[in-house]
Amino acid sequence: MSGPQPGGNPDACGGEPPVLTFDRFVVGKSYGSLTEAPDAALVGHWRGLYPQDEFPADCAPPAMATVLMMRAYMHLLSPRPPGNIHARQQMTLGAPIRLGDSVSTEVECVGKELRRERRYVTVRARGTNQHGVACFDGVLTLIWAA
Amino acid sequence: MNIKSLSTISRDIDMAAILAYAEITGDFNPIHVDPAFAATTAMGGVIAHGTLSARWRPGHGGWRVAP
Repeated sequence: MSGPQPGGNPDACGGEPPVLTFDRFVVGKSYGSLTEAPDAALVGHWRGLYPQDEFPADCAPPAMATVLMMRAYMHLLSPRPPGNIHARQQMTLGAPIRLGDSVSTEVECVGKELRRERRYVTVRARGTNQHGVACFDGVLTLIWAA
Repeated sequence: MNIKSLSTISRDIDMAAILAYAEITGDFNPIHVDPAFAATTAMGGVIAHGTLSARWRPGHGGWRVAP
């Protein structure tokens, strides 16, 4: 794992970082990256959820891109107010993620907007493998709870 | 615009599926896993993760594989 502490804005005194509220998001800021190596155990969990999925034996299922995006989002944008909701999502797939690959996912805030009393935050998550090849490029728009 | 017809995939979503997806992603947002909290929100109850339905077709399944 690399990059700043979760939330990207740790307390200067080393305490718990403040809750990442809408007002604290900085458009254009990278909140760091999370590096993970999807393995057979993680794929096994996926198979438990979607046992009918078919994909090459040496690859993670394509939806693993979304899983890695969410894991990076959860780790790097933290702590969050409870109750955020996904409004939109988009995912572009690149090179297959093979079991044992080391995938680094960088999370960046690319927009925020207050509309009809709702706080919309848009983040982009880009995953690259250990060779620097793009595996996925995802964009999430969330309705932020606070 | 070239509109392509896609096949339909269906799946019943229950609490077990939501909890399994929460385990995989680490997303234990109470709006997904805490019925009491979720009941206090505009959703009125537990909702599945937005990305739970993110799956692609079989075969290479959406990966861009070099020719």
